[in-house]
Amino acid sequence: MLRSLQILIILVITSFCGHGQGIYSVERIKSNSGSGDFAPVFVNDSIVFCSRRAERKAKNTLTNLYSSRIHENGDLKDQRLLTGIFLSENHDGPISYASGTQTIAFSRNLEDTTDSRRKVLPVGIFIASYENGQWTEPIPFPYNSLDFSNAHPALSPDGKMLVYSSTQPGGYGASDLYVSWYLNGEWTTPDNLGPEVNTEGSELFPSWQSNGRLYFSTDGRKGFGGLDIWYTRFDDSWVSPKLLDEPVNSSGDDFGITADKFHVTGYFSSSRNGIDEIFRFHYQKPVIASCDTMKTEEKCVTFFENGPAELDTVPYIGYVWEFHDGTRIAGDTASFCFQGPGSYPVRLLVTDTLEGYKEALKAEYVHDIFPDLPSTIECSVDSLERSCTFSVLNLDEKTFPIREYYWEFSDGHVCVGKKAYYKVPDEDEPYVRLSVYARSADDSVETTYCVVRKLE
Amino acid sequence: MRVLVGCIALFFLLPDVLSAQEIPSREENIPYLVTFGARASKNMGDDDYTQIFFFVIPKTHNKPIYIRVFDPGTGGDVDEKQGTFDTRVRFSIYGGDGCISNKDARKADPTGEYKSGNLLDQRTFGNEADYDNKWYTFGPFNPSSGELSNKYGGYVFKVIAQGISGDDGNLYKYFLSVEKDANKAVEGGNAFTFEYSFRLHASHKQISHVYPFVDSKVITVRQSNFDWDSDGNIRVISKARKGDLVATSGDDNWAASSLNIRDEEKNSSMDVQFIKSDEDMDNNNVVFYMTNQYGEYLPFYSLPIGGVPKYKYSIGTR
Repeated sequence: MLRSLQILIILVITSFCGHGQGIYSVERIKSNSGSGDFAPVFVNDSIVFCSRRAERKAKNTLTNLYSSRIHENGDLKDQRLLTGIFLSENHDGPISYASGTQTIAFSRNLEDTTDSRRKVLPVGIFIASYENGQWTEPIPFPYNSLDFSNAHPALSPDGKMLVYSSTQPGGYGASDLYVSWYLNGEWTTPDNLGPEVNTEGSELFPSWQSNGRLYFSTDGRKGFGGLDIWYTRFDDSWVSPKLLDEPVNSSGDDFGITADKFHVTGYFSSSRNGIDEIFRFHYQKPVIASCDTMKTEEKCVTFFENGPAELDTVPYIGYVWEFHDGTRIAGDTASFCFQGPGSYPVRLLVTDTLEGYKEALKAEYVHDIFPDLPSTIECSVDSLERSCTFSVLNLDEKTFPIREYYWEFSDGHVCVGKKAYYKVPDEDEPYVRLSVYARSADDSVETTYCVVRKLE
Repeated sequence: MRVLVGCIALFFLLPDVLSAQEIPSREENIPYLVTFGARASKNMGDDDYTQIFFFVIPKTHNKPIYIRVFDPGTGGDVDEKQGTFDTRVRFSIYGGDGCISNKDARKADPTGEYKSGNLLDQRTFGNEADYDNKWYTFGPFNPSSGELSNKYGGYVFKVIAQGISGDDGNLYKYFLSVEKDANKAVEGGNAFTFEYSFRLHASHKQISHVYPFVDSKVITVRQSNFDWDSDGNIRVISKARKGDLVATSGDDNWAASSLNIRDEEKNSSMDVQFIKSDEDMDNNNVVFYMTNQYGEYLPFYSLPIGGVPKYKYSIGTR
């Protein structure tokens, strides 16, 4: 597989909101060429991707860019070679697209006018805009160099931030991620993302998500094998990356991920089958049988013997109820108030004066007190003021593990995870709905709760 | 075929411990069966001077069996003396057709053709020192000389103990054995009666039990007890019944009361507990039987079908 920055060029635009165990499915798209297809990117309603397929029109078998229509079944149909500014006599792609400024950035081999016999050409980044119905002539990124490669551009949605992979000297590994800001009409001097993100391995294929999360692939961290997809976020500094779960990541190379604006469906590339191919992922929305508004579980409970007491003549049988803290209550029923969430054992001791025994343990029970499930969804604006961090309050996960958080926004955007990073949907009555899937500590009880918060 | 299936199901419900074929069994905690001489006053605790027991031999058992009687005579330390011992009790062993299938055999009262079947052996005991505190053995019997009954799970033998004369109380036990001179249980065997006449413990700390089997057609049961002498409480429990007190009799009279059967109780045994009062009482004998809504008598198995029933407590919340 050729993934060296000396030869390849790649890009990705956006990524998906969150990740969660086992709630999204992955399938290989049927229209892979078999020659190596990778780095898909949403460009408006189409997908642009790289392919090494033989192309007569391109007069080469190098990496070229293709566009495709998304079929209703998720396959990529009507694939066609991108020509014009996107086609050169060297490797072209991958591409990145900033919807906010209708700007593209893509990788391409540089031309060494000083040495026409040079066989291995470094890669550089080129940027173009869509103006007056056509693409402008690509402008080289000012920090391209014949001494090293800059590739895999990732434009932020507003087009003001460019993260890319570079082999320039002074990095932490074979290739590192760098960032440059578009300020006052110029690109700032690139900064290395630092050791929080970069490793001694290769960091490749960065892609921005609209909520501010940056996805990239690396072989320098312990994952599932080969290149794995990780994500980070810039919050004054770059936060420690997190690994995407299977089935997106695999033992092969997994890279170049993109998602639709709702983050329900997306594409990525992987060599899990021995050759670079494009895969589609799709969120499997959990089935919620009954979704009540989140509520506070009753902490005061009355316990009783569950048998047909009203039918029996039991004047000689007495009950003593024993609780976790040593409290003992005598009587047919016992009311007890628990301090907080948890799984509490309750024991029923029976005294039978007819049979002559006292306090024989006859029944045990574990009562689960659910936590005060989130009555409040908090939205705190992050430092970049582009989106909110949504979180819930009053969850005690030690005593009552929440297995899944599922955020649905009024514009259809979904996120999975303890927190959701997203902007307030630009709608008349925006809202976010959080569904929580929880199990009791002993795994015996599974519940679902949800709550809706209107967003201003 | 339906009967056969039901019988097989019943057979598999037998408890794991099948060696306790002493009658009364350990689970029943009844010290002795009792039969009085025909001239005894009924306030001694025997309403009809007759006790009928049935022994079931599994069809798979093909070796001779013995029915042993402990202390069959009336005399000595075990039995209840009224003046001088002058009582004679006859033990009769029946098998063959009609032994159990004759409806008169499945009643509490010894009337009609309750001696149905083939008389296989018979012996009458009086005040004989030879068998005082000792075992007397009837048999050997070929299992197939009993009456084959799918309903009851094998070959059935019937033993009728009947007070012929005198007014003393004969206290005795049975054992269904594969050996003549030792108590060695018939594997898979059992014993039952439709009316129990038994001696209670003297100690108030003891609780005796009988275990009626409730089949699927039972909707209500009516219990009847005789000459309880107001010696405490009689309580019925089951796996779905934590305890129902039933009507109890005084001296020389009957008491009866009914219980509705719950679905969970069908095809299982109930536990009728004889819980004595706080004071010890000697020589209290009692008679007990149960009928269903059709007036049919429920069998009391020495080894309760399905095991000794226990009420299963559970905890509910609100």
